[in-house]
Amino acid sequence: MSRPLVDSADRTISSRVFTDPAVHALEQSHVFSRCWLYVGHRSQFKAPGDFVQVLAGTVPMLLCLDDAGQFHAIANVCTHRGGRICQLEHGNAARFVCPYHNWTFNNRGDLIAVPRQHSPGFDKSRWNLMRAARVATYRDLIFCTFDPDACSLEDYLGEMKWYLDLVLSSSAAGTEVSAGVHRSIIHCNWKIPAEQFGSDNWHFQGVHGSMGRLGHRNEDPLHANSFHSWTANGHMLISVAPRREIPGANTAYLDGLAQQGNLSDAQLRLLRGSLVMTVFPNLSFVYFPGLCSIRVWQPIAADQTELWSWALYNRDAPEAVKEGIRTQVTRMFSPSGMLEQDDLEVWTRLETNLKSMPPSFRLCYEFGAGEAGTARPFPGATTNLQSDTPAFAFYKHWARLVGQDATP
Amino acid sequence: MKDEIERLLYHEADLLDSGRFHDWLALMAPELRYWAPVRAAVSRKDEQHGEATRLPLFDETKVSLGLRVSRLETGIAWIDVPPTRTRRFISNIMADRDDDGSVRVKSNFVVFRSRGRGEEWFAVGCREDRWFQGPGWLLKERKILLDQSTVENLPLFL
Ligand code: FES
Ligand SMILES: [Fe+2]
Repeated sequence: MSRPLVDSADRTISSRVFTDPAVHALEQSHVFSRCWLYVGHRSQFKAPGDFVQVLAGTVPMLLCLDDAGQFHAIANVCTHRGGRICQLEHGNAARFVCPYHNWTFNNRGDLIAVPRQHSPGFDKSRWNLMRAARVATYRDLIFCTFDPDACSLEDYLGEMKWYLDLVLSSSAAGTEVSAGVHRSIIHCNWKIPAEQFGSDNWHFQGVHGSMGRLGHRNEDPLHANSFHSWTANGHMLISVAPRREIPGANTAYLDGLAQQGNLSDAQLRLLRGSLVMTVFPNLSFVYFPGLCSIRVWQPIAADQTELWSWALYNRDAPEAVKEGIRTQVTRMFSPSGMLEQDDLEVWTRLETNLKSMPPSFRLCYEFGAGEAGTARPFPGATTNLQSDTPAFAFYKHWARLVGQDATP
Repeated sequence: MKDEIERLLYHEADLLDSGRFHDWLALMAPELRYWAPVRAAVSRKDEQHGEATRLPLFDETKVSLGLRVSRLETGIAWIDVPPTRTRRFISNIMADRDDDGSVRVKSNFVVFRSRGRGEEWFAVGCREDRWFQGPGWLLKERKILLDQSTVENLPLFL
């Protein structure tokens, strides 16, 4: 009898969690088909008929806005022989005509026309596109789930909403994502970056030591606003207070936001530092004053992830602020980014290593074992910046969904 | 002029492939604009529309390129430990002199990159440059069109 993949007894995790194709298949059916998945941002939609190609887990989908202002997440996979019904990344269309035999679907996923239909008894309504059971929005973020019995999106996000609001609702005008998306292939399992983005401040001194040495690290780890938080459903966050406020245009912009009164004083204080968070399973944010990226770690294969990331800013921010955020995102957190490059490199090495180890190899998540979460005036359970507890909570939630009994 | 520009681009490629990044930086004008729009699988018209306001893949100045070079020199920029081997092939060079004396240069590139023991990748695309001639040639503007819409780790100077 093999040990559980995620073992609470000694806070270890099997390397197979990150390498085994059978585990990857299992999480498609148990995690990605049951959770709420981020699929798009309202600002990507300007008019009825607008659509964008997205991924929900491994499933290629189209997120469409219909005439009634409803969003629909429909598979970009023809029910006839599996043709790709839409070829463009984004655009505007009321219907999609499959190039293979021209079955035609509307943007709600209904099969509406089958040319040269010889069989009089053919029931089109049986061959609508596969679609998400529900689509819902929080602030400007659009999520979908394949689970008709899933809890509401608001309940799913739970206490994490307080932290999401930091980047989503400091302005009443809401947010928008940049036109243009960074897409890159990372040769590692999607959970490696999802974990790091929600729970690993420690890695900065190692992975990003070069930036630290050049003076690009501004953190006060012992400050009251520096902590890790984790909440129900596997969400987690790192907040780090700055050692000193760097004066500049962005300070003035943050001062202006404070006047608007959309966030509490505690939230506004955190906005002066950095925030890195993961919404389970695979949506992450990284925020510094003057930089904000929203990103999805698409689980292509056990050892391959596609990162899709956008710059995120307030819709009503001055163009100079938006431009500044785009530039910082590109220079720091893009495939060419000075911070991201080294993360990608280290993750790739890690995956190669784990794949080459015997299946009994286990990883250490011991730091902070036994802690209940200290009292801080912030939502969720909280702890210090070096604790593994938030990451381990992420994996415990994952293991519950995957089902330890079903462990292959 | 065509010959001279060709020699210049080959020289630039040689500096980069042999890791002489400071010499390469010396070819950059102080007011350099160096950028690469992202590519998208959309219609040709949509792809070109709004290119400049789309999130770019590179958005650099001489100063920010200098920071990248300094980073490599720390010896702990893991993307370059051990150093990445690159080989650039520059071709299809077209050069036209502008009214202000600058030279617009278009060129295609294939960059082969190899890391460690066998991770290999090609970057393919074209560049639209503006070079100025002072005492030596200085690059004032470079737009890089990479032909991949999904890229790999991209720690390259293109
Ligand atoms: S596969 Fe789409 S119409 Fe046949
Ligand atoms: Fe990092």
